[in-house]
Amino acid sequence: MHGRPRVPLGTPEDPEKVKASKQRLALFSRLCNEVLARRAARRYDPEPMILAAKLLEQNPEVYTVWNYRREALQDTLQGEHGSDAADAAVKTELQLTETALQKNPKSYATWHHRKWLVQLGVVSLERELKLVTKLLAVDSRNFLAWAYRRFVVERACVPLEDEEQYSMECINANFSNYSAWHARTVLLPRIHAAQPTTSLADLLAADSAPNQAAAPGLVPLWALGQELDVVQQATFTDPEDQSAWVYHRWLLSQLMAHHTAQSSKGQAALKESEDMLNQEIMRCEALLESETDRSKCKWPILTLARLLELRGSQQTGTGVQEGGPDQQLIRNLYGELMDIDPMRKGYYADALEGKANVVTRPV
Amino acid sequence: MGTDISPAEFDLIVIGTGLQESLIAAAASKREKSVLHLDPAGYYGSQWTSFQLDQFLDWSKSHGCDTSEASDNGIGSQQTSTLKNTAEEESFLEVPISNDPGTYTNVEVQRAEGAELGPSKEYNIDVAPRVVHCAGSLINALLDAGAQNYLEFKLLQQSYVWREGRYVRVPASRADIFKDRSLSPVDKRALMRFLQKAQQSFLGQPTGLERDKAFVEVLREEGLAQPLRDVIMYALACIPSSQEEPGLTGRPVSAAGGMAALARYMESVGRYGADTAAFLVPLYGGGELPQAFCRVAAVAGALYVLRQPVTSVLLHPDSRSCAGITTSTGQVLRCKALATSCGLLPPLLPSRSAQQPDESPDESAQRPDESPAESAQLPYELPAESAQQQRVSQAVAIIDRPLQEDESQVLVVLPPGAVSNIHPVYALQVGPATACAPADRYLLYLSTPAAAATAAQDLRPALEALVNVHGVDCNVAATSTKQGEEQSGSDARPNALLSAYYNRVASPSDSALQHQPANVAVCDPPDASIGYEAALQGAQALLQRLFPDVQGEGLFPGGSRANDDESDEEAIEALSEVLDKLGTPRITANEAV
Repeated sequence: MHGRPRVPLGTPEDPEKVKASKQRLALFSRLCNEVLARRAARRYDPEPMILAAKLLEQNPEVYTVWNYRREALQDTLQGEHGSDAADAAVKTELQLTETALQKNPKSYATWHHRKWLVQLGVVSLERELKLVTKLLAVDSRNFLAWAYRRFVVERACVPLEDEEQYSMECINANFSNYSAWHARTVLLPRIHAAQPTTSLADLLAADSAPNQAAAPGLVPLWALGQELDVVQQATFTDPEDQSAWVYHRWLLSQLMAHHTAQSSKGQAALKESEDMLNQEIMRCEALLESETDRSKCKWPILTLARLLELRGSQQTGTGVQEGGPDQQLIRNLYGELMDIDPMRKGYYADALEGKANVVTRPV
Repeated sequence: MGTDISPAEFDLIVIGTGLQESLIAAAASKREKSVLHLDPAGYYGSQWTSFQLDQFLDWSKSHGCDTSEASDNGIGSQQTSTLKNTAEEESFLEVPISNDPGTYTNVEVQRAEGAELGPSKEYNIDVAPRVVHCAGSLINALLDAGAQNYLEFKLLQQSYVWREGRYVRVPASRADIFKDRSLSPVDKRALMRFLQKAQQSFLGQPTGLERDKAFVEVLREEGLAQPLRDVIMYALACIPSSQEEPGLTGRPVSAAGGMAALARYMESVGRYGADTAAFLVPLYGGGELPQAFCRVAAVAGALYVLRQPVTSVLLHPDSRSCAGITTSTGQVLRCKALATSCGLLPPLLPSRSAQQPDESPDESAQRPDESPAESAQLPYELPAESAQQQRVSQAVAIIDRPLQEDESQVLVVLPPGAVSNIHPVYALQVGPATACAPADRYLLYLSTPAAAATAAQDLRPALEALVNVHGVDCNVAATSTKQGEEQSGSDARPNALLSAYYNRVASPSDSALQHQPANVAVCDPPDASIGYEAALQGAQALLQRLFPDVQGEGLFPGGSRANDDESDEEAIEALSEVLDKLGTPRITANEAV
């Protein structure tokens, strides 16, 4: 789906193609009318179901028709489990959704239908996990598949560590993957909070017993250090790729949360997180030094400005020191950003006045 | 005397079935020219062929006693032209041609005593081994010609650079660069920035690059250190000769040429699946490629005759343009244009001064005007003086296990100086997975521009670095290697069961480039690079030389690439089928198209 060249505007259309697509549309709307008429008549016999399947194979986006199938199946599926009729019905629905997903792997309605089947508890979760892994191998940025994966993983009680490893594999294959980075922001706090219990099922069980509640917590500093190293590999490989910078900003929020949590324990306890922040500042500076064309450096410049703001708030507890050296630097950086990224001029103006969120809010 | 070929007149006769010859035959056939394609040999591919093991050993034997430099002495120097009268009472100048081009020298074969090589038939040994760029001109030509159906490919699994006695993975793609922790972040940035610049220049965006500056100079100015320069120049851009002192001889590759080669590499990465290698290897060896184009030509109506030697070329006595050929059976075949493998023809035009004004001695002037971007497609210039024919040193070894566990198709680049080599050595391993060797046997090809007197001198150090050659040419091979293994304990290198060295011609001779009539094209031998780009560019130029009316078009016009958009036809068919069963009226007012 990605990386396809756009047909330039004004390219004359092939009259044969126009004719064919008009004919296709006419036939499709006729089939649509036939199916909807049968639904209006509350017909749940096999004939309209076959028509509905043919329709969805052609275009899985007509969600009314998926609803129609669910209405028709409700009695069969929610009746006694394990009946031959139910098994056959499930098989048909799985096959139909698979065909539809091949046609359009980003069809909300199809994913929703499949989720409904899984929620009935009649589908092999192992097979679902394999299917979604396969689909993500084809398009690793399919966020609908990612959402479905999270849903399956929860139900199947897959160890969080396995999923963490999977997200890393995706990032290694191509780090321009917001979903994979995002998965880490969800998984890492749970992994570190949940120890020694590690599965989400355990977590859910723990939630219901409030005394042992293991809420998602802070990622320990040593683990944050590792993540920052990974991000550095990405930002130095391609500083213009936004995905790793978004994750970096989340990591900074974790770092700041550590700092706040440690603030009562005296200066020594704070040193580690302050050192890490300084290291990130130096990395940004090194990256900027190696670039000759600053107009392509929006992300390192913005991150450096935010890092300096964070250092200010670490030092004073309130914000960047008025008239200090960092304050002038931050002003220059935001000023530069207004020039190289004029579309977000207003945002940078707000940031200068301290009105923008520097880091993502802690989860 | 065999059966005569009928008809006896063609638009184009092609002698030899090498890659360029086959491309020209296919391109002409597809343009509805009548084509006769001959080969004196009983197999396809000429200098681009793949041999079974027995064939390879026979071939090496037939070149075995040839130790002299084949410095063009046999070809054309003693040409005796006679006047020949054909049946139509026309008289032609008859120039005898050589059927033994003397292309290969210094052939040496060493075989380990008692080594089990397996069935000969399961080997496909390339004489001029190379890899296919996924986004290179060859793949485009295959698709345009519809030849892709005759071939299967596998992706190269990994590229390595040989550095300080170790295999170092080549950071071949963005994902590789991201993952590779042996590169410092600053090196990562420098490498990526440079690769992006190459892509920009490929897309025609301004890069502030001085096109004529030496490529290596640009790399230095970008702050790229030696190991990264080696990776870029030899492993990614695949420049076949040394670009830096002390190995540099002649003019180094220009920035424009290097960037174009790099851009082709970047385009190739990931073409066949996310994060996949830039190179393909054909199943059953590279000899399949010319054969596929021959099949295209045959389907389009070309006539094929193998095992048909040709004894002479016939020239119009006045214009000295080519009028036809005489076969070994004495048959005269007329043609409007002639294409041959290199090394067959003597210079057909005696001296340049006597010729038509458009016959310039400068080869580039004979070929159509090239824009800077086009000429940049051919960055390779070998160090040999222009007057001399360039030669390449080749080696092939049959080894008993892969260089790296579980990796069947692998390229290893030994940059200049890695094993006291002057020029980069390219080591390509293929195996049973690409049907080039029997189970548990692999072929390791080495190639480098000839620098020493023999191929063995050029390549033995490189081969010894990668494989254990002690089993070879030693009578007590079996026992000594066993002892050796026990002693050293951990020689991870595979054993060479057979190794062969030879030099081959890698550039057209002077006589091939000049002094030929306008309707004669002499094809290039496989060049010194490990790719097909030069061959394809050359074929295009030769086609235009023979058929000026195809100027400007590609090799295969109007290539219809497979359209992967879902087709309306299929949908209409499926929908009609459903609606027909319903028996509703087919057309209503609303639906009328």
